[in-house]
Amino acid sequence: MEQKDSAHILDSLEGLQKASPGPFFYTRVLARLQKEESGIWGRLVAYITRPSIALATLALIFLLNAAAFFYEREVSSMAADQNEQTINEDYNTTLAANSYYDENNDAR
Amino acid sequence: MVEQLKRGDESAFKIIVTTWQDMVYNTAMGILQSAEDAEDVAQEVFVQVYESIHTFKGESKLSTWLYRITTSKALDHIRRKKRKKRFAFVQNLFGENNEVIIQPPDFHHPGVVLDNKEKAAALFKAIEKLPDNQKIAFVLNKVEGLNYQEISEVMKTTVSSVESLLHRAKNNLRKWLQELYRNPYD
Repeated sequence: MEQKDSAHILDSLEGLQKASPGPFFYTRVLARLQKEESGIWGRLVAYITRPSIALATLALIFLLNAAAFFYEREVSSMAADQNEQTINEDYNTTLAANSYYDENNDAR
Repeated sequence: MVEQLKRGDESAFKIIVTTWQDMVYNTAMGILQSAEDAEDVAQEVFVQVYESIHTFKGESKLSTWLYRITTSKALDHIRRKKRKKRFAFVQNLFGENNEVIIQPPDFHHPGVVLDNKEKAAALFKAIEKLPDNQKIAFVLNKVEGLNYQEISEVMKTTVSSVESLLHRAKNNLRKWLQELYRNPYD
C-alpha cells in the first residue's frame, strides 16, 4: 500500500456525523441510577473484590500472621528462658538447703 | 444548571443528560467501537455526574469535565473486558469453559460517510491498537472534532504534548495500515 492510500484512510473520518444513543436514553439512565442506589451491597462487594483491594487485604492478613508468629516465638523463648532460670534458682536453693542440712547433721 | 443539580433538582439532571448525551455516547463509541459498550459507558458517565456533581467546582467547562469522565470510564471498560477475555482464555486452557472466543467483526461507525465505510473500518481497527493517551487524543480530534487546545484541557496537558501525541498516533496508524494492506490476512 502506498503512503497516499494510508493518508486517504487517515482522512476517512472527515465529515463524520455524531452517533446518538437510542431513544429514551434518559429513562434508561434513571433506571440505572435507581439500580445503583438500591444495590449498595453489590457495590460494596464489587469494591472488595477489586484485584487491588483483594491483594492488599491478603497482604495485610499475611503481614499480621507473620507478625503474630514472630511475636509468639519471642514470647515463648522468653518464657523458656525464664523457666530455665526458675529451675536453676530452685535447684540452687535445694542444693543450698541440702548442704545446710548435711552440715547440721555432721555437726551433731 | 449545575447549581440546580447540586440542589437536587431532577429536571436540571434531565436537561444535562439530553444536552450532552450525544457527545458522551459518540466519544465512548469512538474509543470502545461498540454500540452496546458505548451505551453502557454513557449511562455510567451520567450516573457518576449525578453522584459527584458536588465535586465539580466549575474551574473547567462542564463539557471538559464530561469528556474526562467519559474517557476514563471508557478506558476502564476496555481494561475490564481485557481481564475477562484473559480469564476466559485461561479457563479454556484448563478445559473449564468450552465457550469459543469469537473475534468481534469490523466496527462500522454509524456516522461515517458511505464512500469511506471500508477505509474507516480499517482505520478503527488500527486505532484500537494505539496506546491509551494517543487513542484518546486521536478520537477527541477526529471523532469529536476538538482542537488541540480543547484536547489539552480534557487531558490536563499542554498543547505541545497533544501535538506530539497526535503526531505519534498518526505515524503508528500509518505504519499499521501499511502492514495491514501488505498482509491482509494476518
